[in-house]
Amino acid sequence: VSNPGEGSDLVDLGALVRGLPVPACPPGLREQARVALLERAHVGGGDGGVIGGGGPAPDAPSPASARRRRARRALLVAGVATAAVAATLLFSAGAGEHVIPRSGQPAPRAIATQAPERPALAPYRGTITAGPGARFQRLGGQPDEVVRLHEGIITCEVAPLRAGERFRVLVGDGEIEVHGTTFTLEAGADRLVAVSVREGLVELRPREAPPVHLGASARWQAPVPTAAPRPPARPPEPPRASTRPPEPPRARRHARAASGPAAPAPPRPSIAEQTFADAWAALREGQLERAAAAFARVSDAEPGSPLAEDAAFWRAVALQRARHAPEARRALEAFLAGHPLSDRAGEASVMLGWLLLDAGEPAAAAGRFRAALGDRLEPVRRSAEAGLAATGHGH
Amino acid sequence: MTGRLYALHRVRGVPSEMSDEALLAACAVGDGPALGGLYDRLQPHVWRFLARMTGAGVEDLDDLVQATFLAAHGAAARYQGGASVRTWLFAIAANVARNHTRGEVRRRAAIVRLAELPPEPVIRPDDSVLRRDLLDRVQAALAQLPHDLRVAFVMCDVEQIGPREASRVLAVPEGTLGRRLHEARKALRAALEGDPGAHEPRRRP
Repeated sequence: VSNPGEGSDLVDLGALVRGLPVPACPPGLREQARVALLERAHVGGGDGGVIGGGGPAPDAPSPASARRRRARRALLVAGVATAAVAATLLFSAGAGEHVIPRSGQPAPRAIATQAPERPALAPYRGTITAGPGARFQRLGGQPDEVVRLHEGIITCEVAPLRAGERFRVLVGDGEIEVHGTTFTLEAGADRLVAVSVREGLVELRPREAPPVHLGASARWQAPVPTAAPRPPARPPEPPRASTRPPEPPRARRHARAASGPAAPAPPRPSIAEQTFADAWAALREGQLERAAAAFARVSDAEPGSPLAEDAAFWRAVALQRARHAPEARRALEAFLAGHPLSDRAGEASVMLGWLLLDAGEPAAAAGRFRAALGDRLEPVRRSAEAGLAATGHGH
Repeated sequence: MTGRLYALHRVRGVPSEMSDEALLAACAVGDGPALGGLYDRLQPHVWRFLARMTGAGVEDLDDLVQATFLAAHGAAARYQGGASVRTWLFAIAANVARNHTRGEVRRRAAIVRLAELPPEPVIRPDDSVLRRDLLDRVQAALAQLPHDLRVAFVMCDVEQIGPREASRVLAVPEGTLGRRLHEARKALRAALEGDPGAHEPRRRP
């Protein structure tokens, strides 16, 4: 590609341009961008809005190719579903311990006791080792990873969480939240029996008792019940929606459970749990209005559920992403009023602040930004500071 | 040899130990950690490429880099080999840069908006006045090059990607790429010499 007479000049030109200063990417920004990128990739499947033209070079996928890709993915999901059924049968037979690896390794839902319904693969930070007979399900991936334990013993090894990520295990009568740790917990009859922490810190929140913090090597044991354990609170089963997974696997699971000594399959998720999972699937697929509506139904179905707080937050997020600013604003205000001590109160406050600023209410926005200045997450604090400066009420 | 990469199964392995091609194959089936691994590995290259292509500041570069990786994630299944993943990403970045408009790149990603960051100093203290002037002129000339010429120059002369590989990912014949490269060099040399006609043979008055 060279031309006569260009010999030394082209080397010099390239070297000269390489010597031009390039703005350095601040490490914090790089990490923040990484989180945002992964979130965008999972939520929207790539927006491709800034891509276009340029001939056959790699470019934004066309709607037709996106449809083809979805079709291929559907085939893949069908394959995984088949594997899930097989794995469930093995799992029900109590064949030793099963390990669910973190994402980046084989699909964790292949061992879940429910056929996968979501085309998008959720990122997981937790590796779960289940004891024989343990019955549990993953209800969602990051940034709000939730494992629902019904019965048995599982050990969770949780990698350090990134800003804004949560990892929780729900049982019928409480929840456990961690931030990068390894712990084991046991449930019986949908009630928490014991928690052992190998390393890190675990916050245990029994539904009817004050929260307990457990450090490394600590163990918590449920008090011995004085009366027969109450059955798990669950509203009557409604007619199943058409989006439910196909019936045959469930029927087979029940048949297997009834015919032998193997551990029974987990009970069907409650309405709130199922709706929460559906809402997350919609959010990941970019169906924002549907997600917002489903998150709203979580709170309606079980207002006292541990998922209700998150559902309220993610409903606001879905509305904001759908650019329904007035609804998002009302949702955020309701969330902050209802959950002022939530881990996500700072994020919600900052989001609300920006919405208020966009709506031309700098004084109100400044108040929201100030409320988030002490948030535990650095990106939230920085956003709050930037917002405060934008309102003209900064330092 | 050109081949198409089909990822029918999730790729097993630790992202840091996987090749760029394997990470891209995992991206094609929606593997988030693989996208993260690819980002960790190639973000500095894409950042630098886009900085030279656009002359944008930190905030816009961040948006452009994200847009590039997001597009790569969506197009991963169509990667056909024949060029390194880095070069393929540069081609995507070139398309992203072409469509660089303020309205589109200023969209905020998710929950919180990024904080304002102080601008990076453009000039290092040890630069001599002469060198600074030279660099200023190169930067200005680079910015004024037509997009296709700039892509050809940055890809081939700055990033030192071979013409065959570059022409493949840019989907242009090698001859076309060579012509663009020649035009770009000529224009830059002219700018360096402070004379638009400097590339032509000098004549005595």
